[in-house]
Amino acid sequence: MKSTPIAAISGIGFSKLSRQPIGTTRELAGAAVLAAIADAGLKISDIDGLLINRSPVADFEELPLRLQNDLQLRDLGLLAAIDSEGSSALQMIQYAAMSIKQGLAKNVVCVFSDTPVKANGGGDAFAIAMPLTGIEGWELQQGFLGASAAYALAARRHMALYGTTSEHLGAYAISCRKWAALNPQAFLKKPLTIDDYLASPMVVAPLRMLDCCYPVNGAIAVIVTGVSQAGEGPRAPVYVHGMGQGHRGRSGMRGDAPEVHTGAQQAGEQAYRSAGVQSADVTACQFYDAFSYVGLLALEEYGLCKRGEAADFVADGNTAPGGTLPVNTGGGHLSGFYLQGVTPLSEGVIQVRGAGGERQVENNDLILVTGTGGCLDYHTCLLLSPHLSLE
Amino acid sequence: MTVMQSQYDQYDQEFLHHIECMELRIPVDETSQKVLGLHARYWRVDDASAVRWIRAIGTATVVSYVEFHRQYAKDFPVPYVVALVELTEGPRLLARLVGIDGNDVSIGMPLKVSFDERGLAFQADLAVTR
Repeated sequence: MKSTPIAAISGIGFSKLSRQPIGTTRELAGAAVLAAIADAGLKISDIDGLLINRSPVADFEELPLRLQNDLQLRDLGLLAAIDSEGSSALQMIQYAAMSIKQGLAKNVVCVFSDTPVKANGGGDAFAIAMPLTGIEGWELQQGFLGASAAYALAARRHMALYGTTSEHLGAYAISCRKWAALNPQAFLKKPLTIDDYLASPMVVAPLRMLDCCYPVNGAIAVIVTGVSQAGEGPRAPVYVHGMGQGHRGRSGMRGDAPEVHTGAQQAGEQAYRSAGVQSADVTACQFYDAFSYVGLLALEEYGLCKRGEAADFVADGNTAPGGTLPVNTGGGHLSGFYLQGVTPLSEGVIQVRGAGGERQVENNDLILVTGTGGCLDYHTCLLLSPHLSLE
Repeated sequence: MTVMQSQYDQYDQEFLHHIECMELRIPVDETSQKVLGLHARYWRVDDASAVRWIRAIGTATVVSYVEFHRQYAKDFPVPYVVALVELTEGPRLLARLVGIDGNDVSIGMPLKVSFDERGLAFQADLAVTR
């Protein structure tokens, strides 16, 4: 193992999170940023970098670069909106870390904010036609609607290749629900049985309602700082030891299998290499799991289970409280809350700080956090640790 | 309905025009006889490109499929099935399956192209299935 972190996360801030309209995307972002700055023990004037991540289905103007002016952030050395769909949140951390190393900034605030749940509910915000074929507009014409459809298609392929069943998907949802029951911030805490799961309405078969994420309105921000300054704040630093990206692309030809072989493997291998560790060294995971299948696939793609073995690994209780590899300890996207990439990121920070309360994992030495965008198209990951050295 | 897809360009229009004419066409490099996937657009920017839209044989197999139970659009009453199909020539695309119940679809099932009032669809290729 190598010993030098790339950067550190010194602060985290949440806006209110709600299933009701509680403010604009821009207002919630501002609240989260101010909370993160306070958490890091900094002043607004200490911030010299701002990175913004807006939802890929939100209007550009919902979260403009003018957030800088809202917050009166002056003389920034770094300002950008990162647009890589669900992988953007972790990319913000990566670009902040690299910019700090290059001297562009010292304290970079990274924020995601979204308000998908409107007064009439949140059911349509992600009723999108995902472009999988290569012909723009084709999916709409074919009635291939809803993000759930794209993921259902991928899940069905995994089922055919590896014998994954609905009960396996249900086991993943149940594992997440068990963690959510221990998380005061989680939205869905009622105990879940496999019968409950199998009785939940089918959305796009093979995915049921309980396979799908639970969107909320809210914002989360984190402060990224240099390693040398990381100990100056009031909170224990969360060190970023590894990072990677993988974006495999699609040929749309025979032999391509973006449903089961994604860029996550490349992202993971790069992250392990950069941290000088192996997948076996990971002690807990915070996956971007907008659908149950994504969590199962991540276990395989990031080398934590062999190909086709994640379903049984989860069904055996290994990812649930008390298991050998805790996964999505806040309840994840399914039972915690869906705020895209900052859901797993925030839980990773909380766990590394040892602030998980009832859900705190016993071993937080090395936590893998992932981000996934498109339909398994774009992948980013981080390796976080409370330790300055991994040796 | 939010659409993540961008504006059609000439490439898309050509493919869709063929569909309107009840023809499924795929890009083939006439020099190498290599078939291209529908994602690849690079050949469209070169006037001298030897790639042309060639009429597909019209047979395919099911790679994966989904059945819609939630109705996302008024004009798509549920349930209906959409499959990721692999054309005999190699390219993959999404298409509605018609004339078959979702419970009867299987991975690897042979299909043949079909056109209805909505455009392209596929149906079970009974000649092969038998």
